[in-house]
Amino acid sequence: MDIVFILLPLTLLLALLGLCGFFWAVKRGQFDDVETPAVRILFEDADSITAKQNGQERRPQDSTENNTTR
Amino acid sequence: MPIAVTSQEVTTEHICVHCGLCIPSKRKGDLRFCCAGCESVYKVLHELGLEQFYALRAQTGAEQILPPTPGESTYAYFDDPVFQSEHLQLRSDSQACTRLYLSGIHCAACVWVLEKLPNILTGIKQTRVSLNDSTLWVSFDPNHTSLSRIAQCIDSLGYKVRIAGGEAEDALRRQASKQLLLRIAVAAVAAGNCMMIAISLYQGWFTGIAQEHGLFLRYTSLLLSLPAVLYSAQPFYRASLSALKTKVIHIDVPISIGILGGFLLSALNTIAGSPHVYFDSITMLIFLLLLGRWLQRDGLTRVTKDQKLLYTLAAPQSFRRTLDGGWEEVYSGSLKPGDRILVPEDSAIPADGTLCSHLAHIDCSLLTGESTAQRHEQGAHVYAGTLNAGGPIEIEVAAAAHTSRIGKLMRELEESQSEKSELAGSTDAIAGYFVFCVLCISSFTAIYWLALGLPHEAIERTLAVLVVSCPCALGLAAPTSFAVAIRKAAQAGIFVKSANTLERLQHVSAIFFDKTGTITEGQPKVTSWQAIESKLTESQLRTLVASLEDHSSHPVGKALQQWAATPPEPTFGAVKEIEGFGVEQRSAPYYRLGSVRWCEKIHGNVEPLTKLLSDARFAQATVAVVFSETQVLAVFAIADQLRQDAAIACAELHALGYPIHIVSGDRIEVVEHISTQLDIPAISFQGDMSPEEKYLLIKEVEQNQHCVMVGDGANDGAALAEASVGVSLLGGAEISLRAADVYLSRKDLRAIPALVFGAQKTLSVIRRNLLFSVSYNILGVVGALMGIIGPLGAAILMPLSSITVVLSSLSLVRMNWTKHIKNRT
Repeated sequence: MDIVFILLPLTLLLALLGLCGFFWAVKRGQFDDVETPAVRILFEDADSITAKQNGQERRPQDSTENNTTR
Repeated sequence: MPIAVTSQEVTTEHICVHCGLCIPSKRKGDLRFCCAGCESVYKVLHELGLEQFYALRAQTGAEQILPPTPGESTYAYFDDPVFQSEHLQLRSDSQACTRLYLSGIHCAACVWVLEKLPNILTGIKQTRVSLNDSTLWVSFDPNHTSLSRIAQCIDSLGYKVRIAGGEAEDALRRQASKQLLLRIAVAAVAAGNCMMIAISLYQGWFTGIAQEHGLFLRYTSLLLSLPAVLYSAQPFYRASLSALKTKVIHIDVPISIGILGGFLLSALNTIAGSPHVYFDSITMLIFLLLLGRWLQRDGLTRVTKDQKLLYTLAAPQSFRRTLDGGWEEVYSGSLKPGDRILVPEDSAIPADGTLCSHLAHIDCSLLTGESTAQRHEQGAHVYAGTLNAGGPIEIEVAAAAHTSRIGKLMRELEESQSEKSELAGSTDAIAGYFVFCVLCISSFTAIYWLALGLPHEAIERTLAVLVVSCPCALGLAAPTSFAVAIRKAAQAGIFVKSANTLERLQHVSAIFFDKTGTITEGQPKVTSWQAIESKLTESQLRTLVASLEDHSSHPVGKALQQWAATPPEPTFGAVKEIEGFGVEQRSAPYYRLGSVRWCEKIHGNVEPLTKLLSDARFAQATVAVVFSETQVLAVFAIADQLRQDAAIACAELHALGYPIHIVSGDRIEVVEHISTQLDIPAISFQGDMSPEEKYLLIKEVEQNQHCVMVGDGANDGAALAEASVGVSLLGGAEISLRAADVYLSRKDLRAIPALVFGAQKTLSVIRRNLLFSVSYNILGVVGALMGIIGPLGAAILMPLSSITVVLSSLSLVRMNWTKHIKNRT
């Protein structure tokens, strides 16, 4: 049972790592708004639009400019 | 808000492509949309290639949305330096950010389109929507675009933009929430691991454990508990200290005593090598109690007190006369006494002042609740927040924003609100007795064992009593019930802003209703009409009325327009409005529509008319007459209708035993008429009340008894805050929404008796919980005194009592808040 002298601190270290991760997430504001991210997963084309953004030379200057979708 | 359309006017096959509402038959223009607002948003979305908006909306099955209303013209005041210094944060030369409040966000599609803003407008770096509070965080480069441009862009998508005020309070609240989460996390880690270790130790009691292992495990528990006791439990200590300073005993006092006493005992025992340690119970206690608090807080509707709210009420932008005679658009916050401003038609007046123009028609419903526009002559006082119902007028500013009448009302409101949130809850009442008993028992224990000459035993037993008597279940009794009750209420469309509110509802003994918009529909309608020996058919009459009232902005005119439900005759010609009398056709046959007085002036006493006027239908309403040069054609009675659910709600409240009162700014005759329909005795209704008078009345009532005030107009704000419980309705003025403690998202007054009933139920469950917890505590203390209950006993008793209380609170889940009302209708 002497193994407990090693195992217990190890377990606590893992728990501490988990806690640090949680602290980081909370401090960064990830828990401020839990409703909106749930809705964002429904959006498609995030990647294709970013790619188009990078590829396009001229960005739309004004809201009346035509912008094509996929 | 769309004007309610009756079923006669709507062709049910036609639904607006954008907002999903029915298209009124009066609609001119593109018939795919119900209004120009929807049409323009549709066009904008297509031009930008954002048609996916509609697909997303269909996918998420969003509720019917309101069509966009025309927003402020240019949002030019967003660029005003005074405004920007108050609301914009400059992160660097090329980055500024701010938070905007948008009305009209309701679904995934809105989030999607708003977060696409960086693609739409150059200069916007990032946008982030928060669905909870309908806000949009914008980060942009001030060198490439301006805030007003951003606001215009958002407006073109169909969302009205305002600045999200109350930034400081919001930030504080968010910070407090984060802190609580962090504390819970630490307590959870401590509790979980201490319990795991404790199992080994308890096992060791039965099967034996080596000395060094036992010591090791106990010291580890000690180290683990330290962060929980020193960091996570801080809110309890702080509350206890402030409670002791003000000599009011709070439930946190016995909790703190228990935690600290238990930790002390366990630490001493660990060092002494004795196995009697309570680390697992203490850490679990801290975790559970913090969790209970978090659950309660999580369900509550967020309140943002916005001291600058009055700007959004009044008008954030004003047109000020410049030195060379022109008009410049400025931020209302920078107006000074002596400034001359122009208030356009249908705009809110931005500041208190005196009228410079000859004549003005001002809708004072914000202050008086009366829906008819008041005539004001040159030199009269006008107030910030009221609406200019006539043509453009000039005003000389007398009082800047905060010193205006509305500003004063707002301040009274805030004072009342902060007082209310400090009232104690029912568990806190018990806390006093609790502390007293616990301290007595522990003192006796200590004295007893010391007298026997066993100091070690004395410390052991006394501190054990303190741990076991720690009111874990008691501390959970109220928060868990409130958490469940508040969620259930929210499902029924009743949003409660603080747990305190439910407690206060228990002591309420009278209900006060505002009239306009609360008990009545808020919009005058034609209640009856009668044709008098007319040669016109009904449809001809409708066309005639529609033609006469086509351009009317008067509430009576609008009511008649709605009744007519027909397009006006295109060849009708010009219509002139005669002050105080009505409208008149400019060409033959000179049809007129106006007051009875006018008709009598021209035609004298007309027999059938006089007879009709004595009829009950016309006696208590505003009467309008249609007549030509030769004869009287028809009579209309126009009144603000009683809401259907008002009668049911009042009957229900009477049945529950609550006397009902009506307070209103409208004329006493109208109030009387409504009151008789609801069986309310003469002493219980009042009319002609200004907002200050309403506030004073409620204040006076509150001296003797507690009451609920239900209102929705801005003129109810201060009264709502002063009442023990203020209830505001959807569609109500901003002030009343902010001032109220409860907000009804469905315009259904039956929620009031449901609320009262629900509060009673919740409080009875809390009382049951208190009974359970106290029983457990007595059991525990007795056991601890007799030496039967040690750490293992405490570790079992505490979660057992907590589970009992939580399960008891969950019984509220099965309660249907509107059920008992439905059963009786």
